[in-house]
Amino acid sequence: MERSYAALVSLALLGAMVSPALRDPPVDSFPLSDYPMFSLGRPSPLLDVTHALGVGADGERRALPPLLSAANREVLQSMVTLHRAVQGAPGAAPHCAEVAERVAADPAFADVVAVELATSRFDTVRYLARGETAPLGRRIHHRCAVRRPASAGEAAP
Amino acid sequence: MSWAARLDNWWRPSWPAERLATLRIVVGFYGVLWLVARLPHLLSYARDDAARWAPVGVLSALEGPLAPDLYRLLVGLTLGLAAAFAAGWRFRVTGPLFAGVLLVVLTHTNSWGKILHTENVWWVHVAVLAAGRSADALSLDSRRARPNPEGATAPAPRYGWPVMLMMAAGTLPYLLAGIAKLRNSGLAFVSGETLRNYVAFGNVRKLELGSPASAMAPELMDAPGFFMGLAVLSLVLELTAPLVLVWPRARRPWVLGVGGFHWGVLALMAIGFPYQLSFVAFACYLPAERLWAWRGLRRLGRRLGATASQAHASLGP
Repeated sequence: MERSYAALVSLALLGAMVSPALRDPPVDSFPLSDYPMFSLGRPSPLLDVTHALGVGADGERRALPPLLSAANREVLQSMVTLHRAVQGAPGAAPHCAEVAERVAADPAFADVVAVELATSRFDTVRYLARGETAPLGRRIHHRCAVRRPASAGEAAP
Repeated sequence: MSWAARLDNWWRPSWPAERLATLRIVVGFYGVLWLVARLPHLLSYARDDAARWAPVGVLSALEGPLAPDLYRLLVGLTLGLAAAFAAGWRFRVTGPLFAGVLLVVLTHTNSWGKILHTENVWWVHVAVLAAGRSADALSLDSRRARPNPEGATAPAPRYGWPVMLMMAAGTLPYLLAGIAKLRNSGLAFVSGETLRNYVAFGNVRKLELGSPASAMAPELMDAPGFFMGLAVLSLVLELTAPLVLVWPRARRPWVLGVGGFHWGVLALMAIGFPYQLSFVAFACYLPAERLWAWRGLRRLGRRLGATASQAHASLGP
């Protein structure tokens, strides 16, 4: 009985773990996966990334962190959220407004006057090795202003 | 001896109950710490936008995320069950329940468009421990029910196969990852260029998504030999992983190699696999019951009832 139970549990678990890799195409899920990370050939260092940028009064742009750009701490999940926001209905505008609202509430980003949802292209190796951080190309999907409530001092007559 | 008997002896070795119980404590205690540390993050999913819901695994059939209050309740329950799991309290119920609720909570966190792969092995280990007699020693259950502590911790096959299964389940993801690399990139992977580009991709993507990236990666971009060496090493560690099941002497070097690999991924890509980085994932490859012989843990071990660790130490791999 004990032996049969051990065999059954072992075969079931190991069989389930191997199964995603045996399917065509292989399946990545949780907790069963074919573990495809870093496996696809990547001969080009070019990267297109959709991100949320905070635009300062001086026109300088900086990437907004996941908690602001997607209300999520996971950077990869924020990437997917942003990608979906600019691709699907109802489009980038509502998401941009959400991000701008969060930016307005965060004192660490008090200098940011506008938010842009953009897809930028980078040469990642030159970016890191040579410090060439300017994008090779950038498409702005939507830009929206960051509106902050006037402070008590400003509102007083 | 027949091949079936040999296979049975190999897969169900007579190991002490304390080894399996120590793994339950270590994996469960890790779970308590992980859940406490990640509580704000886990709870943040209750407020997430339902439009972003992309269910996977056991939640695939759900059209929307769990109701926020139900999800919060499950997260809280998971923490309580993790403590019960580690303590071995009413384990026949709390063990499988912890595995089940943890599966739902972790699947929920992975159902927002990107599967993270960081908790897969932890959950599988919890499931194996829940399926085995992991609370026969060093547990509240064993203290309550056991008239003869020595008898209950005698080495037996029922305490060996779950540890073997934890080892096999822990090595399988590496083997699958190695096979995926060969299938998708072929031997070109060992040139190192693909790996270098992945490291560059990962870091620039993080920076451009407003997250911290590796400080070390920029210094290594012009060192193709480094990435070639790293590619070869990772493939060797992945493809040879199952060897540790049949060759006990390979376990320590493999654990050090794979643990070092995960620390390397953290240093080069700022990607952390906490279960592996803490080495809790690799405790099953070592005679874990010897933990209680460590000076700082002897008193705690005695309180828990770890009396047989010295006696059985020679039986380990």
